[in-house]
Amino acid sequence: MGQLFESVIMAIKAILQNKTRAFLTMLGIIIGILSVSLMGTAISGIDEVFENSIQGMGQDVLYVQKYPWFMMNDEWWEYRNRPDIEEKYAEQILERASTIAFATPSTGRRSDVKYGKNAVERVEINGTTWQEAYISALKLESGRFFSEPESRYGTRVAVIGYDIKTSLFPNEDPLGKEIIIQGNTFRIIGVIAQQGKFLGLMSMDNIVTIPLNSLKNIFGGRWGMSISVKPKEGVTVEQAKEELMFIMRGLRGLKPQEENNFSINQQEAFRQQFASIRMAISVVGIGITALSLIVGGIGIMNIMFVSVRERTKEIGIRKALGAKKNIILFQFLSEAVIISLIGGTIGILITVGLVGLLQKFFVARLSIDLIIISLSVSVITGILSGMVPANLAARLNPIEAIRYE
Amino acid sequence: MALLELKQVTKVYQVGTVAVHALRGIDLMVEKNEYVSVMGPSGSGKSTLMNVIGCLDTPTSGTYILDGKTVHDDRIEQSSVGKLSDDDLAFVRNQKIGFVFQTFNLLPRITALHNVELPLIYAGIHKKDRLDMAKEALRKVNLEDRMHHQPNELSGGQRQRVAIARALVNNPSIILADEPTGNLDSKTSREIMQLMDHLHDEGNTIILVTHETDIAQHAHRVVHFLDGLIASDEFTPKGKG
Amino acid sequence: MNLHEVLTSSLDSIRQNKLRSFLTLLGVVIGMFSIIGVMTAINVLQKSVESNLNVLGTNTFFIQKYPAVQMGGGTHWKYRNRKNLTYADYLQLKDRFSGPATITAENWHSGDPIKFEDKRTKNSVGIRGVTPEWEFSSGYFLQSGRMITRNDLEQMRNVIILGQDVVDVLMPQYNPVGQTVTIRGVKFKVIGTLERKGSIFGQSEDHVVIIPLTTHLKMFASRWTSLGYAIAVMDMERFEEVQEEIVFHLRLIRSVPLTEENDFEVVSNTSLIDTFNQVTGAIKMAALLISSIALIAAGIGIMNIMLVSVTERTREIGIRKSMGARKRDIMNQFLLESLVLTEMGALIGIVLGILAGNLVAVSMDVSGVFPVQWAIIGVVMCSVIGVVFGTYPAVKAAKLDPIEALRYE
Repeated sequence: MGQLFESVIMAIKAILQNKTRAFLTMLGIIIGILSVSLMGTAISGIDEVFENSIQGMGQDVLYVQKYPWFMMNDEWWEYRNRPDIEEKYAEQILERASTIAFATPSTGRRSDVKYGKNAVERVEINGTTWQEAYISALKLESGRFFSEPESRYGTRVAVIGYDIKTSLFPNEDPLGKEIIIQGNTFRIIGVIAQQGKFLGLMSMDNIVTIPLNSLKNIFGGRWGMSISVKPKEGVTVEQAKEELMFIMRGLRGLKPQEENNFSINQQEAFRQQFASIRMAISVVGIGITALSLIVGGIGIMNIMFVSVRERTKEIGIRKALGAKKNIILFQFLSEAVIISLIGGTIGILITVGLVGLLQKFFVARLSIDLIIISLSVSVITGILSGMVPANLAARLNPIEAIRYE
Repeated sequence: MALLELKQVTKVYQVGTVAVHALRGIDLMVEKNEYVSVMGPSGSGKSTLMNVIGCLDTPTSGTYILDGKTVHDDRIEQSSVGKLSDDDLAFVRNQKIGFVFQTFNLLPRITALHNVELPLIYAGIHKKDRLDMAKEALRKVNLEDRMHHQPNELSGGQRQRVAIARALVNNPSIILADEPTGNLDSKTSREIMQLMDHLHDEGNTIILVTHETDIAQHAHRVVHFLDGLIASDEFTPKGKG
Repeated sequence: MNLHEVLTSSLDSIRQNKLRSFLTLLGVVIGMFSIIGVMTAINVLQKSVESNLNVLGTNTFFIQKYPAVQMGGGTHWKYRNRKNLTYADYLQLKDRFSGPATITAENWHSGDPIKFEDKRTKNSVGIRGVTPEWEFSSGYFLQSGRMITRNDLEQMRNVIILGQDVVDVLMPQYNPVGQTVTIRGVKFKVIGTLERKGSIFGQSEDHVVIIPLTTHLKMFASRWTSLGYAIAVMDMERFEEVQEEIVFHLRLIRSVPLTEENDFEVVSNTSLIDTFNQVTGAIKMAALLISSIALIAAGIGIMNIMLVSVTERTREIGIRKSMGARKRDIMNQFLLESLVLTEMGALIGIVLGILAGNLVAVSMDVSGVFPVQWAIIGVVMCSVIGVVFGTYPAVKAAKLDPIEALRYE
């Protein structure tokens, strides 16, 4: 043990003896770890934004809709002829189902929204019922969601998203203020907490939610609905989905051999879609940045070879005085690992500093996991790149080594 | 006019806060085809003098004129004339000085021929002429047959002869030999000194630094150094004769 | 000291230390590989998309209500309020224009299957109503039968030309010409079939039928129907000129005030590719930035190893200086050594990178690319890296004091 400790001390001394060299070697690792960990924070950032943006959909929520969420381009025509999803289905589902807690119809329109001189063009206006608050597990920043009576009577109340709030009310509290939608006045009763955007997915941030009955009132016409369904506590999504499918087929009067003429969508579909995109970004991004870490590792290896060569005579003397192979090995290996670990630590520290700056451009998240992984990677890099030179040193023939000039 | 002329040359090194006076005012003239030995204990200033003469270093004050060229003259204000730049010094070394070192200082891993070529490369001489000149120089030191060998394949005496050939190849005004026999046994030393004598006979000017009296006696004149000053400057029996 | 001498001595010293040179080189190779590999891969993707975009035909441009690619949200409104492009506009345009080009009008419908006996196609089959000029702008060729004629158009005949996918589904055993198919219960006589065209972006180009535009409008037109005009230019030299003239006439026909912008979109291969390139341009910049990091790490490796080399060769530098080497001789020698290392690395890295990038091409089943431009940029970048990171060690070597250097052990 004492000998091992001595080896580490010697390794540190060797590093200190040649500071420029040690610094440049570290710099390679710093750059490598920095780029890998920055890429890592970017990927975690993407994850987080994704999680945020599908949060609005609710984890276990099922959507009865005319079209499936993901389809081949030319399949669209197959689904187009399906009958529209009707508003009344929501109540009928609730009446018949034993596994379903909430079911609400909802539909959307686009309209300009004005408040005083401020206006946002072509905002998605979402019409739904009071149940939506329980289905989507929406987090409100302030205020409340509309109530059952407000929902039933089509009261002119609105819950707005975060972006709408910042555009229309840069300096005031929106609660209680009146906005104009399609020439009608709506009173703001709630603001939904910020969600963030991801790859153009729908985000609640720029949506105005109003009671479905108000929406029908001001826009008129009749359109297809989407029915959002939330299972009861203690019921799995799959069970609820099965019952929902059965009820819907009943409502549509489908014969056993006929195919569904509706789709039941769930968040899972987005997850799968996202997982493949994320995979591609991760593999390519981490792959490319890892190359710089490999180059840094090669730098360590190169310098360790130099170090072994310069100290050949010293190694010879040590061996002649009885130093065991493993001690020599350990000395050089610890030199490589120390350089790599210090480089990795500095790289992480810079990453921590940069993440704040990067967040101005895109979402980046630095997790403890990532720090631990980066440090482990730098240690592994040190071991891998120090192994061969250390082995070379350990195997030196003491007689030849002493004679080496 | 003397080939080499030093007037009141001093050299002061700053070592930490202490000023070390290596040369304290040296006056020395060497004529063409002279054969001068410089002797003195270590720290007496003889190495510093050799560095100054060899244009590896410049004096702190005083005047140094080599072969009509003012290397250093602190009486002249204009730096372009009075004090040469590093590159100018390099040019003077290349054209007018031939060094022979105690440790030979050949480049390892290249052949004797290539080593001898080196000064010619820096002189910008064409490859073909260069090879002829280098071979000729090696012939003078009787090493034509070993010219494609690398230094580690040569004996000490042979290495020093390569070094001498390299010193000669540029037809320098002066050959500076710093303890040329310091790393050689006595038999080889004699051979090398015979070679030096021969070079002198052929008209070369030689300055030889040594601490061995018998080696110094090969020269025609012996200059003794002590504490940065010339203690004596005498002709040897050879010089008188 | 001439270049040849310096080069020889640099190569010598690189050879003398093979392992070290190899590792240093490896760093540069990986750095260069990273840049060239990524850039080649992007080029391959770009080229495959561009070649797909080329199906528009290089001598053809289009007039339509909506732009081909809509960037950003919220602009759809602006286009929706535009007047539709009508058949009447088309006829006027044809009257007024007399340049070296043919003008086709076309309408597209899908959602109705083509039926034959007890068989039917998918709903997604493209039903295209065209004018006779379609023959010149479509890129399709007849396999059998005849094209839509002026008579078909003027008399609103129920005639149809089938794409190969449609033939395969409906009547693989028959000679299609002369058969009768139905769309929405209306009978159409098959007058020809199209040669197979293949697919782009995984979508078949042959899942299509062609009928006269007038017949098409009678069956499918609604208040939303806006035609697309395809203009095939005969004389490529005058492509721009024809485009300007068509725009001029169409503005007049649609009474667009002088000060307002066009109330229609002109789409050509070039405009599509431009839009696409804007997107890839940004991706390329990011990729270049990220992939260059490895090269910088390699540069630092070079600097480090060159500093080692300067230290180890201190005595050699002293000897050279005593032989009359000037500062710049020593500097050139070490700088060139870095440069030789980086350039060798660059060449190997470029070759490997291009190979790796083209693996993408192989896997995507598209033709490979040799990105000369990136190879040149790569060499330049490597030279810059070599000079930037080689300069400090070289200057350090050049500045060595000859006396100290000769004394160095």
